[in-house]
Amino acid sequence: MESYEAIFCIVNQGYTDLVMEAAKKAGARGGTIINARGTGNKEIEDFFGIVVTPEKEIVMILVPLSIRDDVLSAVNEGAGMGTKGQGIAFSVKVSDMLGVHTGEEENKDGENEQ
Amino acid sequence: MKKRQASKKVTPIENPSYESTHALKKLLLTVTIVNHGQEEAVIKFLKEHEAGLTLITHGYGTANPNSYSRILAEERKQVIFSIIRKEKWPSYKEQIEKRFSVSDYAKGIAFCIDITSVFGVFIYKMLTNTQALEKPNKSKQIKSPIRKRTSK
Repeated sequence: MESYEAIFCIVNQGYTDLVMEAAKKAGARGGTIINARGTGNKEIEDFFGIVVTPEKEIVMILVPLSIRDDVLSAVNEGAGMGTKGQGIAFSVKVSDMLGVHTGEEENKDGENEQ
Repeated sequence: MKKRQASKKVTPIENPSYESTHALKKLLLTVTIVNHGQEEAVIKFLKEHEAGLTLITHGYGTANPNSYSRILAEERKQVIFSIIRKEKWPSYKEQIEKRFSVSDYAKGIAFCIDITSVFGVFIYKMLTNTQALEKPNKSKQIKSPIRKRTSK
């Protein structure tokens, strides 16, 4: 089984579409969104002149290791700190998983049918 | 000397060894994503597998249901984060796999991430659920400072 990575992207509330559009363009299939709240530092906000919206959303996307870098860079471009989404994305290694259609089963079925 | 060693009686060990009860066990953060209303079964499995900590949150699926499968047909999701021992994962996975195969609506996604460090021994014991293996403290009977008057 190909190793998978879980990409977590924290964005301002209402900008998860940017993340998913960028991720899907890079080859991701889908994700799950959960609500969260940010705890921004006011001094940093004043220094950099940005406003940190406390309401956040976290997008979790499971991707194969082969397209991880593409998805991360696409998310950074589409919903990174330079955009209204002000997104931060990182990935963690997934030890094991189930329930994701990897495509291997379909290929096996196809071989059996032939 | 040999005769002396042979004559020594070996007492059987009744209590489990210290290593077996206090050995460091690796922890996993499991994330289980199921359709809305399906979380009860997952929580039941987690309890059976001695999950140290469980967090349930609401979530939304973003996949297009027409694209590839009916797994993510329902938009509303329940995301269950939990910490379990690594040795428990295979049996948990087996159970959850059976649960996912019950029906199309019961399908979901589960994955696990290795936990590399934990702050504090007490927290570690709580997460690994090994606190119960400690010997129970025998409460000493507190003698009341007031002496009873004895009738002469």
